[in-house]
Formats: sequence, C-alpha cells, structure tokens
Amino acid sequence: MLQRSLGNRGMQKLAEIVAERKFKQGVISLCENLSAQDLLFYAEHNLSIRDALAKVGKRLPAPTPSTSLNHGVAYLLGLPTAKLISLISEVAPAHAQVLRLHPQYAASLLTEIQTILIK
Amino acid sequence: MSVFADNSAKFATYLQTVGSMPMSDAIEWLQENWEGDAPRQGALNLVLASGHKGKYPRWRRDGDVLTWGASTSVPVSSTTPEHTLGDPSDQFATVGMSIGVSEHFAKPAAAFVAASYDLWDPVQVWEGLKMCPEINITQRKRWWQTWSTKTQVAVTPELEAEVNRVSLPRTLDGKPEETRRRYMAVNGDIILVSQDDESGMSLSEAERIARVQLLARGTSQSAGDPILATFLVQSGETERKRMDVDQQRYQRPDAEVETRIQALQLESDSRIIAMQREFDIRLQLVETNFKHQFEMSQTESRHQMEAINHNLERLLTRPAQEEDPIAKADKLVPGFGMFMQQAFQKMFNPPTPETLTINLGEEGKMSLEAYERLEAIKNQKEMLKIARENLPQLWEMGKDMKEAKKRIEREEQANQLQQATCASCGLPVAFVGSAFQCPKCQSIQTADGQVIPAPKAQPVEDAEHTAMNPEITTGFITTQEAIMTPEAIMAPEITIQREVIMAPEVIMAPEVIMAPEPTQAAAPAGILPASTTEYDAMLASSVRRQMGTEKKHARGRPRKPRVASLPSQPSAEIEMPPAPIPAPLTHPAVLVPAGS
Repeated sequence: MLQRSLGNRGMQKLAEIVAERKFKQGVISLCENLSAQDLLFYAEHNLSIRDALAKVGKRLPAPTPSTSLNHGVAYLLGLPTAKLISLISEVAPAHAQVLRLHPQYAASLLTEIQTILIK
Repeated sequence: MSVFADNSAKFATYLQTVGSMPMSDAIEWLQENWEGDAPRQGALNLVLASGHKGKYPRWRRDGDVLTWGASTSVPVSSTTPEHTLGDPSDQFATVGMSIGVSEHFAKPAAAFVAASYDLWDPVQVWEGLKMCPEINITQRKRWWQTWSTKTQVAVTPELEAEVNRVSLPRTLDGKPEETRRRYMAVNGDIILVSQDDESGMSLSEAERIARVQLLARGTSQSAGDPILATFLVQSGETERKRMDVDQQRYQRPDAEVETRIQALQLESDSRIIAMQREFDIRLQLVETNFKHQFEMSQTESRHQMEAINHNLERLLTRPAQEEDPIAKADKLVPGFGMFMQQAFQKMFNPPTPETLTINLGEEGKMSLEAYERLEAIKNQKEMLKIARENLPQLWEMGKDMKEAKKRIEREEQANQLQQATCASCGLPVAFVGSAFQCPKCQSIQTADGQVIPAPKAQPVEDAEHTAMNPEITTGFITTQEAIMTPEAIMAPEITIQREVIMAPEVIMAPEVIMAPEPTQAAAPAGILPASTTEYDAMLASSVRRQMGTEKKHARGRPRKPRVASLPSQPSAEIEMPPAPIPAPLTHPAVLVPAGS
C-alpha cells in the first residue's frame, strides 16, 4: 500500500529519512553519557570506540550475518563524513564541533558508529 | 411487396376483367377492397396514377374514365415497377430525388416527414418540409408541388399562396412586401416603371438590355455611367424602403402596448406622488426634532448657568476649605492616610512586570523564560527517552566510554613524566609520580620541592654501578606517611607508590658522573629546617627500607638502620601533599643534561 502510494523513489526517500533518524537517535543515545569533553579526550588520544571498550573489558557487538543491505543501510554507509557531522550537529552541536576539529578521527569514529547502527 | 403494390395488382386484375370504369367507381372499389388500414384519398390517387403514368403504364385515363390497356406508343407491362409502388416514405423520397434533391438529404427528410406528419395532407407535408432547412427553399417548394400533383390532393389557394410567398419579406400587417420592382431600358437608361406595366422587366434584364443599347449606339458605358447611377438610386430606394418599414414598425404600437405604457405611466406617477408625500412627512419630522433639540439645549444651558451660579455662591459664602481626607485620616491614626494612599496607588497603578508570565492554570504562573527552559528540558528528555528505548546498546557504550576515559586519565596521571632538578646535587631528572629519589645523591624530593636528604653520600663507585644498571635505577620508591610515635617508629604505613624512571643516557652523562658530591649545605635553604636533620635522615632510611632500595651490596658491614632518638616533638605527622595534576606534555620526556 505504502509503496503503491509513494512509488519506488518515494520508498527510497523514506528509507533515507528513517536511516538518518536512526543515526541521530544513536548519536543522542551515545552522547548522553559521553560529553564533548570526553570526545575531545578520545580525539586527542586517537582512541577508537573499540579501544575504549577494551579498557573496560568489553568488545564491539559482533556483526549479524542476517543484516540485509537495504537502501537505508546503503545510504547510511555511503554518506560522507561532512554530511554525518552535519547530522550530528542537529542533535549534538558541541560534539560536532569536536569532530570538525579532528577530521581524521571523525572519519574513523563515524565509520564505527555506522557499523554499529546497521547491526 | 408493399400494401400499395398488392392493392394495385388487385385493382389491375379487376380493371382487366371489367375493361373500363369511371374514376369515381374505381376509387369506391379501392376503398371497399383495400387491404390494410383505411386508405386516404392521396393513397388511392397514388395507386390509380401509378397505373396510367410512369414508364410502363397498364391502363390509361381518358378524362374521368379508366380503361385497361395503355396507348400503343407505350409498352404495357404486367408488373408495376417497385420504385413507384413502395412505401409512402420511399415514394416521397423518390419524388424528392427526381427533382434534384440529393439522396443524402432526400431520404432522411422523407423519413422524418413520413414519420411525423401526414403525407396525404398537403398542409402537413409543407409543415414537415419547412422543418428541413438543409434543403433549399426552391427545392422544398418544388418537392411539395410535385408531391401534391402526384397524390392529386386538392390544395387550397391560401396554402399555395403561402408556399409561394414564403421567401418574400412581410410587413407588420402580415402581408407580403412588394419588393419586386419593374424596370425598363430606354436608350441605354434604366427607368423605373409601375408594377402593373407588363413591359417592365427585372433589374438585371434591364441592365443587360441597356448595355446592348449602348453598344448598338456606339457609346461607352463610362460616359455618364447611367447604369451606375441607376444602381445607386436603386440602393437608395431600398434603404429608404427599409427605413420606412422600421419607422412603421416602431411608430405603430399595438393597443395593448399603448395600454401597458399608460399603466406604467400611471404607476410611476403614483409612485412619485407617494415619495413626495413621504418626503414631506419626513421633512416635518426632522423639523420638529430640530426644534425640540434646540429647546432642550436652551434648557440645559440655562440649568448649567444656574448650577454655576449656585457653586459660585457656595464658594463665596463658604468660610473655609474642607480638609484633605488623607490628612484627616493621618490625624486620626498617624500613618494610616499615607498607607491608604500607597495602597490605592498600587491598586490602580500596578507596577509594570519585568518579565512576561504565562498562566498555566492549576500549576500557577510562570515566567516566559522559565517556561521555555522547562519546555526545552522536557523535549530533551523526551528525545533521550526515545533514543534510550531504541538504542540501549549505544547508551551503554557511552557509559563504558566515560568509564574508560576515567581509567585512561588515571593511568596517564600515574604515568605522567615530570622534570625536575635535584635540589641537593643539581642533577636534572625526569620522574613519574609525586616524589623521586635522586640517583646521585639519594635524596628524596617531592614534586613541590621538599627535600629529604640522604644520610650519607653515596660513593661514586656505587653511583656508577647504579647508573650502569638500568634495572636498579628503575625501581619503586615509596613515600610514606609515618606516624612518629615511640612504639611505632619503624612501622610506617605505605600509602602511595610511584615509579622513578631514569634515562640511562642522562645518568651516563659525564657532567653527572663528575659532579661534586652534594653536601648537606647544598640543600636549598627553607625547604626543611636544619634542626630536623636527624629526623629527616631517620625518615629517609625507613622509607628506603620499605622500598627495598637499601644497598645490599655495599662494601664492609651491612648498613644498619639508624635508630633515631626521639625528636623533640612527641609525635608528628608528615603528610605528603597531593601531587598537582600536571598539564599534558607537549614534548617527549627526555631529560636535559645539567646546565643546558
């Protein structure tokens, strides 16, 4: 019904919106406990999420084999860093500012967040 | 076979048997023996005519008598052609087509007339043909005329005249207008003559003859151009005629119209009279109203003047002015009048609120800023709730990262390299923690500059040996918090452990090795008082013992720990000040040789 009313392009756009919303929700959830100062600390020490979790004896969640590469996931994976930072700035502007100061660290961190979100 | 053909065949058989019979008897016989619906006169005539007219006649008509057998010049056919004895509508269409109406128009028109009108009544046939404008008026006339002749139905002169004048314009009286004028050509001129003159001709004919006359006379048409003048005159006459007709049309209204106009005039007159009366009445009312107002204003002004006079009299006759009620109240109760004045002022002139407030009903009022802040917090909480519910994994991850950061910071703080110079021997060293022991003079120093000197200077050989062995130079030094009581002098509590790291290249530097032995006097004054030398030595020895850095390979007898006498103070607590959180290093921790 929805596809009939929206069409293929409309469904793709809907999937993109949902993916962006999920990404922003993830950022909100992550940044609730992780302040911008903490993120700056990690950026200055170039510590990834994997390293941070290793400090407390945890690991990143294992990839799910059943993850289907639908349009929303592909869209989220294909988003450039600048676009992701702009999405972050909508919900966490201070964190986005930190990521803009450290673009290389931002690229690696956002890749990790993308990977976590699509699992 | 149609009804016509059947009846025609029966009549032919009867006429062949009889031989001849009068027309009236034939019609009577057909009426009696007609098969089908009762025939009309036109239908009977059509059947009788189909036998003695046409291409193959079977009988002939001599006056009023019908005789079997056609004339000798015309072949006699035993059978009747179908096109002459078909349905009446077919016959009507055949007549139309025979006079030139195309089949495309004739058949639909015939079907329409046959279905809607009576084909045997000339009046109705003409009415039906008038409803077919796609057929030319001349062809319609011809069609009707031919059909009437064929059916041999009597046509009234009025009907015939109506058919013939149908194309003529009519006046208001209903009479056909006589627009056809008569002309005559005389020596190249066209002259208008009377309508009754039989030698008159039409305009086109007169024009043609006039041209012929002019050519015969050898003159050109252009000389004088009388024909053009005649045409102009004719055009003017036609226009004048049309104007006369229009004038007649509009100057001769009917009696009904005249009556109506009179009624309208009477009605308008009565309306005007009624409006005049109404206006008069209103004018009178306005006049009366103005009069009353004027009288009232006069009375009012008189009363006002009387009141003013009365007041003036009162003012003049009053002995003293009345006292202010506030002052009066103040007199009765001191301060009450002023209080009431302020209360009234506050009541009627409330201060302007500095901030905008929002009334939230039962929850009370709230300033706009606080309300917006509260709303923002609510929204934020809502968003966080959604995020937590949807992605608890990331929320937990954020907590873990926060915890990891704390741990990393603690480790960094523990591993923070500090640069200092030994206050006793002047050796630049790098150390981690809040205190260090100089590898050269063995004195213990804290980061804030407190020095606990070594009890005895270490020999150069020992220093060299220590410097050559990095394992020895890297050890744990324990700062202690000793409670100096007689019973527990040698039982310090180890509270903090810090690691001392020495760079081997710095220790191997010649300046360091060849540096003179530090003396007690070399200690910077002001760090510790001189009277506490023994106490400090005791403390340093106990610290070394706890750390295990006491030289076990010293030559001669092993060094015994010196038991210090009781200090002048019965008990004392030395608290190491907490190490300040150092700023992050911006360069690698490499010691710089002394003097650099």
